[in-house]
Amino acid sequence: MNPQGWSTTPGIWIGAIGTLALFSLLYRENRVYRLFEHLFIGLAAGYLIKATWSETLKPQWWDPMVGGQWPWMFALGVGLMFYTIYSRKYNWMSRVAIGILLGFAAGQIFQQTANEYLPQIRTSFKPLIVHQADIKAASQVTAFGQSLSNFVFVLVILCVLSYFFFSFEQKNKVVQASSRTGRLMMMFAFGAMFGATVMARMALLIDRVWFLMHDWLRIG
Amino acid sequence: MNRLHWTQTIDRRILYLVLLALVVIGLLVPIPLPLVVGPQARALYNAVQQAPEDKLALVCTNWSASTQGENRPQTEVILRHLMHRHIRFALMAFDQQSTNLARELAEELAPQYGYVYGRDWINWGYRADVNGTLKGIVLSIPDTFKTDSQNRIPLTDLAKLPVMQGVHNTKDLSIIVEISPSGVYKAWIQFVVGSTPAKFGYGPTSVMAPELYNYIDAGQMVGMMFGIKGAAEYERLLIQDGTLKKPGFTTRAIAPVSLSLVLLFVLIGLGNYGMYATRNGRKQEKGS
Repeated sequence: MNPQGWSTTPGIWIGAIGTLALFSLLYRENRVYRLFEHLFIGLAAGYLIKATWSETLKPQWWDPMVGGQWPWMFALGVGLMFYTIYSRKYNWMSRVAIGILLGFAAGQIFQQTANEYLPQIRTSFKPLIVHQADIKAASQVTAFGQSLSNFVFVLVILCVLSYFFFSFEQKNKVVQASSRTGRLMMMFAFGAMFGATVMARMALLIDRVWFLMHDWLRIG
Repeated sequence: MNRLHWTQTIDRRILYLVLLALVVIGLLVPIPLPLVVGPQARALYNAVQQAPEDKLALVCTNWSASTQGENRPQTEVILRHLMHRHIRFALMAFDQQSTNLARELAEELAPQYGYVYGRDWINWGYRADVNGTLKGIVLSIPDTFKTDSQNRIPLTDLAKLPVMQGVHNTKDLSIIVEISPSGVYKAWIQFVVGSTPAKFGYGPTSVMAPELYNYIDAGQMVGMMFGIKGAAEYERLLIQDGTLKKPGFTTRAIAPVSLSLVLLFVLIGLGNYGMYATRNGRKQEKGS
């Protein structure tokens, strides 16, 4: 036990009480939990509004506008046009604003797709027979090991792709087998994701317990 | 009634208590569990280690209080590594909480390494629009952010912000590291990665990590930290190279993570075995 005893910082106490209040749900549903849940949601929403104004709108829009760059005032008009969607008479105006956004998104999607997926498609073409000369000098992988790795990689890609053949009925036995294997492989991947999710949740719990022990109770 | 039927009726609160006890024991008692540094964390470490010292590093943090258990240690090891190498860095965020949480962390670490705000590091602040901002910094960083977040000094005022010396756009960055529980990494790959010689590293939460291997395989990411485990691996490398004198919270947290996962293995096995045994017992009772 630290000789200083419990923390005397108000912020730590508020954090500790909030943490314990939210953990109280683990025992059973209760009003204290609900109170702190609503407090947290309200704080987060309020903070978002404050941060959006002080970090984005004020320095990027308001300050330049009142500082002489008056054309920025039209941005407000375009932004407000989104809200006309609630009016039957004027909702055509919202389509103009939405159309501008859709145009931007459609233009960007080419760049996004090319930059994200093309390199991955390119690296999915792996040689099935790797020679020792192709292996990097510092690498501990053997040519046979790399060939095997590449073979498994290509096999799994083909199996998973065949699972998504929805355009025709999968009657062929080879396609059926590869489709079933592809589904199995995806199950392995989902299992890995679930395992990783559990680890993430445990890490968050440990962080909170460490906060209570170390920062609040000064233990450890 | 089968003798393992009790496994189906354990009060969940007892399981929570056992889990809590394991976590507390794991945090209090040093348990020397092996920690193997994976290739992804090592690749990210090497990239930071080899980043040119005369260029600015960019750390984009998009985490909030809800995932700070994983993302804060990741941010800490990256900042410590950059500061130890005396590489100047900038912070930016697409999460409104993260801009302050990361700033607080940087302010906490800066005095330990003699870092001065404006000279050695800078906070560009929070932006709501991911795509627009990233497309903007590819062309011009000062035009996109205009001022720093803390003092509202123009980024072009090099007398007050010498950290921005020679920084015009993403081509002038040494390395980009994003720490995030969100899908913003895709935007970095879509808009920035191909436009700059700076390598892109990533610190995701464990939930996201399995889906990122494609990007590493394709060379779009240089490496990553797999949640808190990846942060602990990175911390291990920092201890090995002398950047850190002793292990911090991240290394300490690995023991309770492992213990809690072992508990879950046991409970899942016990629960499933008990369920099958109970079901078989019922079938046998009906048959007899």
